[in-house]
Amino acid sequence: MAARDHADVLIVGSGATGSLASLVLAEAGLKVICLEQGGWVEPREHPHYSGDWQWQRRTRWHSDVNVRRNSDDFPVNSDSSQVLMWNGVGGSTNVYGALWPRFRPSDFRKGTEHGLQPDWPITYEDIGPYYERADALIGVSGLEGDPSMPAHPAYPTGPLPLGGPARHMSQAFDKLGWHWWPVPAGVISSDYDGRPACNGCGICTSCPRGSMSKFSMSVWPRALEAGTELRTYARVLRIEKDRSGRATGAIYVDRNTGRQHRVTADVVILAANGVGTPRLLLASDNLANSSDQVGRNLLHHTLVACEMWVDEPLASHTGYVAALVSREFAETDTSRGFINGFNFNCVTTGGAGEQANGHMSSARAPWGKGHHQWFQRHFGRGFGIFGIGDDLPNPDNRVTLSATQRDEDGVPVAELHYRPGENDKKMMSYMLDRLVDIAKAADAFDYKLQDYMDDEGIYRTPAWHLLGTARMGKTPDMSVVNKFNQCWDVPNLFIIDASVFTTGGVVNPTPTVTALAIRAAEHIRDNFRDLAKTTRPMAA
Amino acid sequence: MSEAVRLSAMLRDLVDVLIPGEDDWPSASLAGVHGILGMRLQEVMGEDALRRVETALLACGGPLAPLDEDGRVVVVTKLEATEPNLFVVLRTATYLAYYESPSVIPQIRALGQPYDPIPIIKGYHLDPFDRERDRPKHNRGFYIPTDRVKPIDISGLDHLGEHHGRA
Repeated sequence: MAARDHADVLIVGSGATGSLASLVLAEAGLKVICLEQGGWVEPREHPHYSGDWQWQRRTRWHSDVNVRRNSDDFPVNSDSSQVLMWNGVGGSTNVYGALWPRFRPSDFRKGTEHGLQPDWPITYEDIGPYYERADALIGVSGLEGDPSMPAHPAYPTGPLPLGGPARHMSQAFDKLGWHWWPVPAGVISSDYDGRPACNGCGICTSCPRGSMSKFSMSVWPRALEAGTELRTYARVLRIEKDRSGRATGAIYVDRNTGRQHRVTADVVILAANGVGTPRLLLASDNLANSSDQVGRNLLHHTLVACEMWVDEPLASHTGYVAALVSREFAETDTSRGFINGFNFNCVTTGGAGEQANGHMSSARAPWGKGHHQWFQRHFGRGFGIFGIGDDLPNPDNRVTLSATQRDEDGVPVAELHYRPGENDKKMMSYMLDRLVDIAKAADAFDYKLQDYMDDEGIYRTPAWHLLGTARMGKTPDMSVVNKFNQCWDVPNLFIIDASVFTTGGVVNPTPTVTALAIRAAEHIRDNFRDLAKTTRPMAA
Repeated sequence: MSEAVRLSAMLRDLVDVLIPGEDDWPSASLAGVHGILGMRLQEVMGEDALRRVETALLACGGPLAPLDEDGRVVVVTKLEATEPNLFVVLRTATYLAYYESPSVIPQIRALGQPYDPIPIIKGYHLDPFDRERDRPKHNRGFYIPTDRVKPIDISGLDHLGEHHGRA
């Protein structure tokens, strides 16, 4: 064991939330150490600058840890969902698409609305100012004035261009009389904070230019300048606590040397994503789990899609990947036959090879005779629409530890189980019907639905959104953290990744989790003196 | 015939069944796809990849070389049916290699839309968002403010009794 070292605040994970907490706390003069199991991903390492970028997106740059098999990743066995994440500085912002829509007020009030999900212990109004702080840091682009959202100040950069797919889809939504709006994006439409504006290249698997907020390029430089000590290739094996119930720090292995180290801290923050965080808690002698909620209530969102093609050439491989959002169905309407709502996210297509292969669905160019005819008819004329909805929590949808398998460092392998419930299935069926409506309104000559069901009827969603596995709540019996992301059981342990989501809302989670992370970090900053010594358990 | 010649011919013949030449479109082998395919198969399937493909083709009536066009299609159709996972890898790698090939790019552009094989370098031109022209005019959409979120009647939704999970 190497020499002991100490931080005011130890952060596990350097993704979006870990970077923001590092920035806030280091700027306050606290000694911050952040441990990251992966390394830096340099811009030139991204696939964008290679002629085979489409192949790379399906192999070593695949978002699914179980496809790309990168040594920086940790093993996750899944019997259902595809497990999408990235382990390295900046976390999953190395491969995400940076859609930046906010939760709505009702997303925080599902307990009041129907009682089949809990209310969050906070409201939209509590988090609103932190959305704006995150927006300013990131340089979010978008158009103010959406009548389907609470009013808020203008985004730091204006809306991105509406490309061909967006214009065509907006006409379809108008024909249907449905809401649509340019989607807010973590992509700058004009030069911002030393980063160049989006050039519309369309390869939105993150962005090595920095136009999309890849947090290793947007936030980490500031966090390092503020004094954060970032240790890469440092894989945490367990969180330790003392007899008083306080977290004392972590044991990690330096993956370059194979040596184990102990780092102690007055406050420990977990920012290791909705699989990594529950795995670490469970592997740390079931830490912070008196409620038995750690790992449970895994949420992914309900997700279905439709890929469609129209006669008009749209150059649909150009421009930012996400074009429009429709919040027409975002609120519950029980006449639809289910509770909760959903959004439509409208997206562009990939490169020529990806279009020929089927970008979002099984619609692809046939092999042999007819191949070229299909391609000529479809190329640049397609677009996709995702239906993304609020799935109900189920305690049996969960992250657990393997009883038999351990990783190379001896930590049990994470196992992930997820099945949509009846309400979720009814919502997805309804969404698919509405996608057909859109295809018809768009005068699509061809469309293909994607329900993500495999041949055996198992829902294999591409699960970007790993939510709910250490959820926030009002009481310690049914939640893991309180309204400031503080563990009920361990007063100086905070969880700031998306595992704290009480509900998933109907949108991509990064804007909300970054706002929550800033809010939690400011709480820690403002209460550090007390947090550094309290042994008072939050749980009654 | 050496193994190297045999395996190279196998890949050449296979990619041309998947993407034959037609009009101004080169065949896959003319674009050099078979060489790239071999490397990619090795990348995802390991060192023995080509022999596995050869074995699978033989089991389906191959090799392709002595067969006429229709006979080759029969073999590959059988391969698709009997080795679906292998076939997906073959098709995916072939399609991507073809449309990534620099010699194919001019024909993609000939369809009349802009296309850059490595677009991040120069980007694509898109007209900037014009607030007068592009702002939605519909004024549709609503949200429920926090203090107006009220209990709803879910008594008519029978499915919520059993499978929703606990809150």
